[in-house]
Amino acid sequence: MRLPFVSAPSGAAFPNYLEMPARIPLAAWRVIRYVALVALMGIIVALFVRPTTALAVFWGLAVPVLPLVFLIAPGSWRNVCPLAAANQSSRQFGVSKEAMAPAWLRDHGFAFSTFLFISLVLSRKVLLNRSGPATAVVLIVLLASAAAGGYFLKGKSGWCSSICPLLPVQRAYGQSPFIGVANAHCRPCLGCTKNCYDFNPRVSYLADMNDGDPTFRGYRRLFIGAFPGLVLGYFMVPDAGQLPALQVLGRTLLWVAGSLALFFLLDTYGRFQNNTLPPLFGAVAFSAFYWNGSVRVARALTKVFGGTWTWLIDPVRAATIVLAAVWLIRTLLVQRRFIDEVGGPAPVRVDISNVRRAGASGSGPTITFADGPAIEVPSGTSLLEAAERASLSIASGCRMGVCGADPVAVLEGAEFLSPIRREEADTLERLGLGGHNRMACVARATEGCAVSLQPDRNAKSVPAAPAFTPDPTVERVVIVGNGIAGVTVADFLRRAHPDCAIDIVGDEPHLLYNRMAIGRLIHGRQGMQGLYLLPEDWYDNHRVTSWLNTRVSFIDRPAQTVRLGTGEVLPYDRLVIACGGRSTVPAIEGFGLLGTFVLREAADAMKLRQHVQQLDRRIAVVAGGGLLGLEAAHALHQLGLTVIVAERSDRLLRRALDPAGSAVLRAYFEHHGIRIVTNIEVQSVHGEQKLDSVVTTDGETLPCDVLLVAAGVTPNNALAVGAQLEVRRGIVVDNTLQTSDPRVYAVGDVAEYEGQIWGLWPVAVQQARVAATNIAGGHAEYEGDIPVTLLKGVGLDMLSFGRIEDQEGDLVISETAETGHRYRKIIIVDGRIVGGVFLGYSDPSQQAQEWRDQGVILSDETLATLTSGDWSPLDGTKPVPRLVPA
Amino acid sequence: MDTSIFFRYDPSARAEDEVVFLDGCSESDWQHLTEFGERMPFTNGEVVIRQGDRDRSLLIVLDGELQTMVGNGRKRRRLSAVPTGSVIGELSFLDGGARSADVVAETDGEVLRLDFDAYETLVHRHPELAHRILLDLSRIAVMRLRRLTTTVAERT
Repeated sequence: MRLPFVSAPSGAAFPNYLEMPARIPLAAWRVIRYVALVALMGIIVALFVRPTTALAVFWGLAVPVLPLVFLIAPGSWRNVCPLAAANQSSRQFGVSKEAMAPAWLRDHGFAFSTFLFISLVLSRKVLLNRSGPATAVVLIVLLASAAAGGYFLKGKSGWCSSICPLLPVQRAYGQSPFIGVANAHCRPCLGCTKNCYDFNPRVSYLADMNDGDPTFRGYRRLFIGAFPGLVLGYFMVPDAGQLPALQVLGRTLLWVAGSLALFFLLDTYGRFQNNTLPPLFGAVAFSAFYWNGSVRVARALTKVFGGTWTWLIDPVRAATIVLAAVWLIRTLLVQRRFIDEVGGPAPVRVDISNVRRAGASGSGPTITFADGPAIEVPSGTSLLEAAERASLSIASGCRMGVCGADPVAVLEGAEFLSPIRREEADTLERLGLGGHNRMACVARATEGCAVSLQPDRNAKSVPAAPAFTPDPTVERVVIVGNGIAGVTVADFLRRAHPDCAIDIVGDEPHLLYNRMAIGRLIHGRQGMQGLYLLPEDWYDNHRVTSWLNTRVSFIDRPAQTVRLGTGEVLPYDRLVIACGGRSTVPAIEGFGLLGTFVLREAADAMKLRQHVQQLDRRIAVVAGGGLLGLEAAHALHQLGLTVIVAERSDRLLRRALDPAGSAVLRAYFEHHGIRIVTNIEVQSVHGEQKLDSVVTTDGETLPCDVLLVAAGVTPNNALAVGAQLEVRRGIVVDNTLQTSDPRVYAVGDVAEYEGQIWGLWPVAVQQARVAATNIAGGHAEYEGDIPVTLLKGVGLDMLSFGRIEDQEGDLVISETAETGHRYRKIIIVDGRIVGGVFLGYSDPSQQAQEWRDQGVILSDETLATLTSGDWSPLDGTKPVPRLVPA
Repeated sequence: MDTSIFFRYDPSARAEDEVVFLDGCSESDWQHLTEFGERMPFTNGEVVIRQGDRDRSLLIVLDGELQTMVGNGRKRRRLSAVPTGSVIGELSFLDGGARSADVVAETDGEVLRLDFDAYETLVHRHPELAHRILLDLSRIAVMRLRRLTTTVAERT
């Protein structure tokens, strides 16, 4: 907000003299100053020679102009004042002693100048107004004193800024100049005076009035309180000659006393800001001066030039009153600004050049979020990562564009984002989003763009035409399981087969939600908000009948029906079992006691959060150092619990990390105060009514009030066993996801392919796609693959993909950061990346994974760069060396 | 009321009680800080910190001018100017409490934002720098408290 009436040349509200305009060159000020000095000397001579005219010119015309100058452009007077010229001449000729002003002068100088000013005014009445020589002598004494002050004391501390009799008037009138003029004397500033008027004219008086020293403040308040009385007394009381001199002095001082009394009365009862009454009294003094002074000026003009000048009186009176009023308003507004500037806590500074030097290298794209902040990120950063770095609230899930947790609308710069791949396109279509919507986790920015975290629901996706003719014999499909596997089957089936009836049965009471983010349910306060992955009308729009909170009790294969726990019977032509798994609970004696938990469904996480809030000791043991266990450990740690992770094997994240990476991860968690114990299992739990301690396989007793078992997932294969399908650990499927019954398919965490059950979302999505295609009448095959593992949101990002353990003949490039907080490794076979681990690196390290997925053969040049220890080709930010696609 | 900021006669000299955040830290320290912080540009008029938000982060104004505002509607008023080089948001950063005032941009500019989570990671990677940050922030908090005590003492 810029205040009206207040102009600040440099943009700052209170510029110092170096930031103010000089108006005319400094050298010109110097010339004018000496011209003024010569003129004053001329007047002094004239006061002796032709006192009548000289008195009229000096007291009658020159002096009455000064208040006007002080009010409008005080800086110009400070620059041309002949006394100042005398004072500064020593400095200019380099002969000044430049001593520090003594303490009494610094502390009480203003009292002297006030005394001098009042004395001068009073002596005018008794002597000076009528005596040329006396006035001349006073002027000579003043000139000599000013010069002497400048000779002995440094800067302006010997006169202009300490005891000059005009100083109190200049400061009172000059506190909010209409025209700012920079000081032309003090180059450089010598720092001679407290709250120097010449240094910062606009704030100087305010600083005085708000000074912490009551005496310092008091001198100034005393003067301004007396000032209007002095002016009025000067004009109202007749000069000596008409009255005895003592009466003149006494009656004038009575006016002064009355004015002071009024000032302090108002000050006491009025509760004004420190600088509200002073400018009010200043404005009154100014108006009073010209109300009466205009008459005398007219008289002096007649004396000097002849003729009648009385016509001047009324315009001068009117103009000066208006001027005083405007000045008063300005001054009060400046005070408001001043209080704004200094009233709050002083901001703490930092030497910005340091930061600029250090951060000069970062010049990546800027992502601007609608109605929110903007952030500069390294090139290749995903929109999700950018939003998270900016601490915006955005949901996340698989981080591969598959789960659909993070749709956003790109408002500008969509062309600078990484292109949409198949998984992302499918997810967007499932969400019904098209146009400029993207999945934030896989849209990577190379140039600036603008993004809204709210996807544009009006930009609908346009479904692709099915690539094959749907199988007309498939009329009814039943899907058991409302997780990502089941819903993806329904989604792709509907895309390929517009006519068949689809029923989806799930035993949880929720629509499809982001199971990967349930850690947030433990430590976050949002509950289920933001965890749902489908728009509410999705089921209706896709003509899918959903049965929530409903169990399947029996599959009758010969009859091709599914019986629900509620008694309903659903006939099917094809059945998809996608009922996932449940948390594995190893044989722990006493498990089930209050305080023992598993973590699989939203309900588990919410129960855990409920329980933790009722504890007083707050120690948690997490059994299992896998992905889920570590995320849960972090979530509990975030909640303020003391956490111990007990891992059965010899290292954390056994399936996703090699030993070196595991060690780095372990160090990270231990640094954070999470204790890790390996080669250990929880054997039994103890406590009456609620958990008190657990005992491990090596006999140690760990006191705790939460035991969270995260020991993997057991497929929910009971239905399949009951239906006599081929079941080992999970339901056995072939590469078309068919079970031993060609009408029954199994996908996701319940399906076992080539002996593997991965328990990961991207795998479930891939399998669901294949199954849906095959059911609808097309043909697709699942290529079992070691999937990508991501660990996020625990403060240390991890990405691992493909083969992570070294074998004979591999080219292994690895690096552990000196500080031990980062680790990366890639395994190359025949010029192709076959696997890698990146720990402690954010988004861009996914480049290696992308090249592996595409089967890119690295050029010799790239290989040489990488083996030399330069990882820049994998940064994704630098130009990529020549690559030969396979 | 401290008006000394208006009368810095020697621009290179430093006021006695002025607290300079991370004064004398090495260039590599600043590099770490910029690495863990986020550079976030803002535009004129943008509310960079919103009163009541629970956003546990520390902001360093790299460029541009902002102002602290409190209150709503007719009671809304400026609290203080936030020029380039200011460190703001340290209270919420320290105690995790809600933001106590709005900070609104008066020009375009940029802040370096250090999130508390990022700080916690920094603690383990550069413990000395983290120690320094915490110590300086404590000094800042103490300085404010002392000033407040003086102000209260002056008024009573």
